[in-house]
Amino acid sequence: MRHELAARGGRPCFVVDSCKRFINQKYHHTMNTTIHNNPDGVETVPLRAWLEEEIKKEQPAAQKNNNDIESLSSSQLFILRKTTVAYAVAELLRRAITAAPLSADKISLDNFAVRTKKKDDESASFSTSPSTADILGVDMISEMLSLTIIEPSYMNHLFDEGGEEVGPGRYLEVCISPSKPPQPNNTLAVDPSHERTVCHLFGILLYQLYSNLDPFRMTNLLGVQPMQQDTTLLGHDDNGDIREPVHKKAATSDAPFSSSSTLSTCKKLTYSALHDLGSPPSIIRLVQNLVESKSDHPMDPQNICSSMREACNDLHLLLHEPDRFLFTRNQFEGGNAQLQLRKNKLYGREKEVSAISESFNRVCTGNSEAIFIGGFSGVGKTRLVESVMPLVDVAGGCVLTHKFDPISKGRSLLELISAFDNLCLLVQRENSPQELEVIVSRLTESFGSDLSLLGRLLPNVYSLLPHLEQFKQVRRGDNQMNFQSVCFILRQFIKVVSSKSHPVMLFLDDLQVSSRFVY
Amino acid sequence: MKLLSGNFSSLQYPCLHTLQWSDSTALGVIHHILSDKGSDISCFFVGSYRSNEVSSDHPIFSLMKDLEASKVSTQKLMLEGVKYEDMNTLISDALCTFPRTTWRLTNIIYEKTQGSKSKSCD
Repeated sequence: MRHELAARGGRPCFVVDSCKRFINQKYHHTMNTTIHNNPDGVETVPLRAWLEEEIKKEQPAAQKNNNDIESLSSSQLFILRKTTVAYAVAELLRRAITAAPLSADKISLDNFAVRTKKKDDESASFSTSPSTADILGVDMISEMLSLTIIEPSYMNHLFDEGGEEVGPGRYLEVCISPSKPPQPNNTLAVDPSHERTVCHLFGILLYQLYSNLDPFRMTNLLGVQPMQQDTTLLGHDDNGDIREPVHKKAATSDAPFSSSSTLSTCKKLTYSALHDLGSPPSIIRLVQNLVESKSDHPMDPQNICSSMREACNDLHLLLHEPDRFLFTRNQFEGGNAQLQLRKNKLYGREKEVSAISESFNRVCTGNSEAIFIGGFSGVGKTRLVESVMPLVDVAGGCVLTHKFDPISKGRSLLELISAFDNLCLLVQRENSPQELEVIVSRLTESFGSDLSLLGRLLPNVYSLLPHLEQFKQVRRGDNQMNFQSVCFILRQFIKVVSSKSHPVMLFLDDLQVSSRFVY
Repeated sequence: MKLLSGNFSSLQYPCLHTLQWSDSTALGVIHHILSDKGSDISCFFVGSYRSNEVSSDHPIFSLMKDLEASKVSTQKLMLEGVKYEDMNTLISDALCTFPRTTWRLTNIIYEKTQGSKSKSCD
């Protein structure tokens, strides 16, 4: 057995090469509850046994905190744990079908095993600090594939967009060993109809996972009677579609189902059992779309999920942003569903944002740069620039924005000067008293007797130079100032107040208006 | 406008008249500041404009040329409408549902808005 400790993304991850272990240790494809203990605190549990453990833990937790906020979060936690495992299984299947066609018995609970962190007193520590982080990976026994879940901590910072509240979501990566064979020629092109079969079987596996029920034998894994009698929740899926009565009837009938039940029967049962257990609508939808991928008459033909890639993406999304995609039921209850728009996210502007930030980073090394952003009205020019402004703040700079409007005609220079006037106030706010002292002395040094000219152009400069307030009142008569001197004064001013550590970003919006009336 | 009026009142009004230059001079000031090489000015200028409202002889473009001539690093970005895929991400986010299930809705919205995000959000 080989154990590698690899520091990846600041978080150590264990890559356990489990192939040899599987060869040496016999796995029984039946109810194998043997727990394989590894010396490094990792234990491998067959998926079915893991699920039984989960159900055992879940039921007291749900009963104990009934109708409590706590019970909601604890049941959500179990769904998150199951989704983590489901995602791992999906990635394994996605990988496995590229190597060889999979038979049905390979896509069952018994062909997978979950690796978890071993705990000294499992039940006690679990109830005090439940988490999804103790699921380390999943093994696919027949294909001898071992998947390790990696959570790059830096990714979570990258994806924390716009200061939105960080939920329980995790951006997971997976690492499957052995790594993909180097010769791509050996990889089979996946037959679409075979992939549909895999999707269908994976849907049934997911259904078993989330419903704690076996769709064919209709028995709970713990031997408890299935909760199919309760139909109060049945009838609405996440779209609010009313199910047809015939489905309801089929779902509630007590007729025993043999393992040769038709596909459509499974389907109906799927929804009732998942609904009754309070599974999230997105899970029900995914299971439905997967199971129906091989159905002749799917209920939702437009949205069938017929590739493992799609299934992986969906599950990844659920894990990454569970607040948005997994636990959305409450938001849509009560009939007044609202669009959950993100306030601070830009869509499809990654390239532009990075171009602007890179340019700004160069400015921070002591240069001046210019960027012009064109585009039609409403395309998001202002929002794009605004998304970069926090960067300037972090770098210790100040942002000077001015938006021209049609009323600016013929006096855009004045407006520009008044924007610079505001810069005085910004500088005063952004700098520490010591830094201000330096700026004041440099201003005095640089302008000398021309300080009053600066004061006339930018009256707010006196807030930086309170001791020169008296100049404000003198020499009112001479107001002549030519273009060159305005340029010179502004340039000298910028020279003093901007530096590598305090760059100035000047953002002029709607330039086309500023210069429409050119003489 | 509040911002402007506040400052205009503090500006000395006689200046208002003497400062009646053409608008291209405002851009001239920008050029003057940015092109001051050899000093330690760290100024990052970002200007946005509506590309469909300017002609090719607009002073913005002469400013771009002037800046390039003065060896100031200048970039031009043209923003297009949001791409089809990104629009789908937006819609799937807004509806809290899987991206693969929202393509048909995206189709309809994209046809109507041509990728303008603000219109799509309305």
